[in-house]
Amino acid sequence: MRIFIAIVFFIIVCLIDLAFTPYFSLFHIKPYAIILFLYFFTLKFSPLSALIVAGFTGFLYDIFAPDWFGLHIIAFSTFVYVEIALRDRVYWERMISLLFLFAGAFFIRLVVDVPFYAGFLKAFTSVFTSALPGALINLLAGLVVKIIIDAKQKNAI
Amino acid sequence: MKKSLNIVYGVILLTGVVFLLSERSGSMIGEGIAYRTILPFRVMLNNFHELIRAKEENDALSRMVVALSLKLQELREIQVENQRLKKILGFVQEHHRFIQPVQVVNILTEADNTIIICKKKPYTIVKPDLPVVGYNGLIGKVKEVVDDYIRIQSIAHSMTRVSVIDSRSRVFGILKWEGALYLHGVPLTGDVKVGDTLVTSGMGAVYPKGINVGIIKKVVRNRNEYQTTILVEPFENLSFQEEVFVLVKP
Repeated sequence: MRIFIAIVFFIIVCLIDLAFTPYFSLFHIKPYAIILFLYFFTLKFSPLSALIVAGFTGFLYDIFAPDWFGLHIIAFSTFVYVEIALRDRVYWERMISLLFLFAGAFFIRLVVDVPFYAGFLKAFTSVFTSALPGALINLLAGLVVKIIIDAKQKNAI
Repeated sequence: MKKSLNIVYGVILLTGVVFLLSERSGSMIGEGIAYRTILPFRVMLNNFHELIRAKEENDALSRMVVALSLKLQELREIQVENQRLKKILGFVQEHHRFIQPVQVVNILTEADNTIIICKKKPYTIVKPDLPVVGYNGLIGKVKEVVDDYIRIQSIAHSMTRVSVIDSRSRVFGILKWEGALYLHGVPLTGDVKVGDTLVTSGMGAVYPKGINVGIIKKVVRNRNEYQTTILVEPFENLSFQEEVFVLVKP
């Protein structure tokens, strides 16, 4: 059941990011809902499956944005790998752990989006106009999702 | 962390790097895979976006059609009212004319005057002094008809005179060809501006009222002269036409 729900979420997230971006973007900032998915998937599933899913997702996203083919694979798998590495050291039930989501989202946007801006100045500006606000949106969305998950867990107990 | 995990991460990372390097070096492995695997989905996605755009455009056009339809109804009402008032005032009614297309076979330029030779269909009746128009405006008038050939004296001919009015200010003048089209008979105080459209005035009984003729390109008011020098650019390209239309009286 858990895997079925994950697949459904994965499809929804991919559709939001790849097919309906113009309808979900806020101030022309791409949603990258997949970051949230990968973050929570890594927390809930085995590390190996999370890493494989990250690699596959990166490949899928590269297919849809093939200008720098391989960037999504590197960015997503690194994000998940670092999360797995920290999983044993950080107490993930705390809200503060969401800061990792913010840092990860910022890192992914930095790797994936910034190289597309022509010229250093535009690329540098995009860090503040696209990468940081985008990461902040991901953080807020993550906060909402975490609250929902926590509430569900409490109810289950 | 498990060793197997590091290996998997290493393999994934290496794959990404290989894709990235292959593309940067020009071999485009990744792009090739991308286009082969995803092309149908991409086409589907593009079609979906096209469909949404088409729907939006369709909605906008539907609104425009309704607005234009209402405008048309309003104009029809005005036309009926106009005709009724003209009837009351005893205006001479201008009958509608048939549009007779003729094929241009030659365009002659003799001493800066343009003559257009056309071939008409055998059964059509075309007489001299009928006005000739193009898609955008006045071309000239029929000068003579010999067998199936028509000789059209264009407005770019020194013998042609066209009575025109400024469609904005209703100032009247006579259009003459003097190497270029000039509007004569407009006093220095005449209200004419660059960009004004000139249409036939209907005077002279050759050209019906309201045919587009040209646009005012230059206005020069010289105090030593009694009239304004006005340069006009015709709507029609008089040096090249494929077909023109004779306005035949019913």
